[in-house]
Amino acid sequence: MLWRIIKRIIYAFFTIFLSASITFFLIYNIPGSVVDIIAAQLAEEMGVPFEEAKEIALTYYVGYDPNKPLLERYVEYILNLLTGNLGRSTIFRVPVTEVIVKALPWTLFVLSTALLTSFAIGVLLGLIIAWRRRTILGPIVTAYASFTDAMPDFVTAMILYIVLAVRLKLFPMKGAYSESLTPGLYPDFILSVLYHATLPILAYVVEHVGFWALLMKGSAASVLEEDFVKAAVARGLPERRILTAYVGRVAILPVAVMLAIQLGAMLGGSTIIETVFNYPGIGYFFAYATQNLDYGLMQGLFFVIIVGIVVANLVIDIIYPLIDPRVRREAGRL
Amino acid sequence: MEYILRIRDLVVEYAVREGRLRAVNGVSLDIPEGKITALVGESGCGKSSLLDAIMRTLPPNGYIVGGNVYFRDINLLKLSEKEFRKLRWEKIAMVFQAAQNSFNPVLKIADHIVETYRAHRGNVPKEKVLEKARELLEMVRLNPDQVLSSYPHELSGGMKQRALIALSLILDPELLILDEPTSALDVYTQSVIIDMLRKIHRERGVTMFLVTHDLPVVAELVDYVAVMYGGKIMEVADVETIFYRARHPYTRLLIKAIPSLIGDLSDRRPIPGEPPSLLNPPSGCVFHPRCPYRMPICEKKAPPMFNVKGSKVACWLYGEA
Amino acid sequence: MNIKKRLVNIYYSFLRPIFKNRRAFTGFVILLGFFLMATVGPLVVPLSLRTDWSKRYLPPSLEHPLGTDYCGRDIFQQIVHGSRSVLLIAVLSALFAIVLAITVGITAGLLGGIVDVILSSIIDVFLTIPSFPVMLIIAATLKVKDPFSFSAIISMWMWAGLARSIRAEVVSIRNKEFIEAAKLLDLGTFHIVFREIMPLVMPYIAINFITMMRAAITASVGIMFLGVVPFDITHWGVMLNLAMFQYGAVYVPEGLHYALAPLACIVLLEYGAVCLSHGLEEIFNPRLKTYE
Repeated sequence: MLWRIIKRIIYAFFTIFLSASITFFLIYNIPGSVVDIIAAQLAEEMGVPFEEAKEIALTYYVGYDPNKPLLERYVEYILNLLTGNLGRSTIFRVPVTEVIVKALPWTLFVLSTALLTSFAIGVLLGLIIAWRRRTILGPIVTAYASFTDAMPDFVTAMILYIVLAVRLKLFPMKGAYSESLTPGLYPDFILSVLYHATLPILAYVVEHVGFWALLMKGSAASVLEEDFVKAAVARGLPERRILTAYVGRVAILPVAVMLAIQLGAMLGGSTIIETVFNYPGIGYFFAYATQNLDYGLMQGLFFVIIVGIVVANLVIDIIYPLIDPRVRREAGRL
Repeated sequence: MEYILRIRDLVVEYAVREGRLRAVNGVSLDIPEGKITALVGESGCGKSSLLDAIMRTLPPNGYIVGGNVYFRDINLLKLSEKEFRKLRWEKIAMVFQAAQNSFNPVLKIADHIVETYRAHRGNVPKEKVLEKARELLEMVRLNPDQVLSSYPHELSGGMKQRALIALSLILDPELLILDEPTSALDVYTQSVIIDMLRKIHRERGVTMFLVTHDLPVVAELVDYVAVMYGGKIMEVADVETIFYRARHPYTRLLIKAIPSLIGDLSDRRPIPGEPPSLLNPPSGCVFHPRCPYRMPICEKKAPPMFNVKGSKVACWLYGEA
Repeated sequence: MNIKKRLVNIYYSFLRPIFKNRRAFTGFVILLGFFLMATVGPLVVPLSLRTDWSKRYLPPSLEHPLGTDYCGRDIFQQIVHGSRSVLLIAVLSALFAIVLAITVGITAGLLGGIVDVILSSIIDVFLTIPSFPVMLIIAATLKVKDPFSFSAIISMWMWAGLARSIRAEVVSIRNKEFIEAAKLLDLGTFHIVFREIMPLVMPYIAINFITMMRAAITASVGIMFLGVVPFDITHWGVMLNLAMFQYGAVYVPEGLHYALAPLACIVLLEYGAVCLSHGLEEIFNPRLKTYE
């Protein structure tokens, strides 16, 4: 059992390590032109000769010293990552960690709310349409799910943005909270946060609720055929009990596994969605970095995204056997 | 004789891709109160569908197309779902096959028992229910504390079967239906279960209706036997008659096909032919294609149940059209 | 003669079932429409990139079926020409991905042993890494300027899932065949495996091809929408980028159609792909449940 967890953790580390290495080889061989631009700016600002400015740019604003051999740079890079040094943003001139601290909470807030909301609604819907096979709800939900499935998530986001924010002016067009307020734990601020987060969350939920519903419907439909459900009916258990403790509890398990995978997908998609809504989360800054070739920020944020996804997958991998007693037994042997 | 359950001309069909499959084709059967009755037949003869119809647990593509089922004076099929739920387990309980996963894998055995009790008797304190559960579990020779706190996958097949028996008795039902209680169990456990059932019957007087394909078990335990084939009842008689003086050709062939520890194996004869298709049943008597005694009329008309000296036989050998 | 027979075979095994199944047929028609637009369209419809600021954001009319953009250019022309870019990238990406998936999957499945372990680990890693961020980063740093390299990048993050399935299929077949055909030379087994696997796996690969095309469309539009690889101005993703970010068409009441046109086409195209792939799934995996 413990060995299984260790194996998974090693695996996770390896994945992160590999991604970081890919990033390194992509980015730390930055074309000189970008460095030159920064160097020129620095030279002017600080009044130093260009060559010196270039060195400064490389060391402090890009994060590496080109004079060192590749291998040494690589090792330094890895060590930096391990100690939490994620480099510097070349455009904002601050450590990447600073950007992360400002942006990550927003992304996490929106993503977790959206994930849980769409999961809860979707699973409930899926359960209902699997149980009551003859309602019109079934075809409606299925059609809705197929439709949203076909639409890429940014399309949904764009439509919501154009209709609700721009045209109808029902929701704000940018920001995580109203500019006139200072952050703090008071009702006005919290309301503003929720108000600003509504559209991004809505975009995710509208897009993904169908997915959860169909998934749960499939799982519940197969559980309904199980003998123990039939036995529960024969024992005269009330419908509500059967739906929750028998069908629901058992059917939700394979669906819950997808939570981590979905989080990964959503994290990846946050890049576009946050850009559409001008919502200052990790995705927004990551997109910004790629658009403006802020290499430092790019690799730093990419690293954060990767770590987030790998960790999420790892957590579900480890937790699942604890939740499902059937798997627990086999997991003990692995 | 009082009959606790009377089935009249029951017809059960399933909607499948190829058409309609008639699993129960006009079955009439009376279960005497206070006795143990067995329904025997090969797999696929419709026994399980009959049980599902009685308990109203047919799958979504199953339909009770005709007939009635009376529990004492109540027509079970005419009750609403709510009304029938009150009868379930209180009056009619079922012991499922151990081989099936009849327990919810995420709930402990204790939870199963408590929730069943509470579903019918209201919010009774857990301890009271468990007290009774312990009694029953001891009666079926299980360690109550161990079993109650176990999950289903932690129990062996034999233990599960016994736990299912205990669970079925928790509300003191009047009629106990058992679906293949000895299948998929080793011979020793089988005999333990049979002893247990006999004991329960003797001490509590529960009427038992046992569905099985295992004839030796029938011989040891029951009072009356009904033989089912191709969705119809072929013969109903007391257990001695069935085994020594079977009248229906199918019954006779069945008895002959049982291997035993005494006697010559070369005497054993399998029944020639194949089970009938329930989608396209044979015309006339459903057994006629395999019957060594078939007559011209057998192909044309299905025989009614004839009364022969206390037994009932559906065969043209025993009556006129 | 042989070719004619093959064609007839293809008609009966592939095309006819598609025509019969409603979903597949819908998808097929939609995709066919777009393919025609991509291949024939640019030949028929000229592309005039002259700017005419007096004609900004004109609504749809006979002269300009989809209206004009921020600098007076006809939107319909851009859509038609852009479709070529979109579909080319989609097809190329799917193609590369499938070739890669088949190669890796069969190799891992057939050779087994340490090769399998290594390849499977690689597959797993590629599966875990989220595709969009990594595509974005690679596209941004490598300054992609042509559809081929772009497709190559996209295909890198699409092949892993299919490779895993193919490998599993090969492993199961390999175990069966080896037991029975133990006497055959290695070359012989290869041939048997190919002749056995391919027909079984073909429909599955076809379905995956369409699914991948769809994923590639989403990815390429997404990346271009963020303005990262704008090498073809008529690509719908770039059009969206211009509409949304560069020229604020969405904020101007008259400019709405400029953003909606590519959006609608993307949705329609993807919907067609989804219909076709679901339809094909229905055809090749006849549902075992007969009652619903």
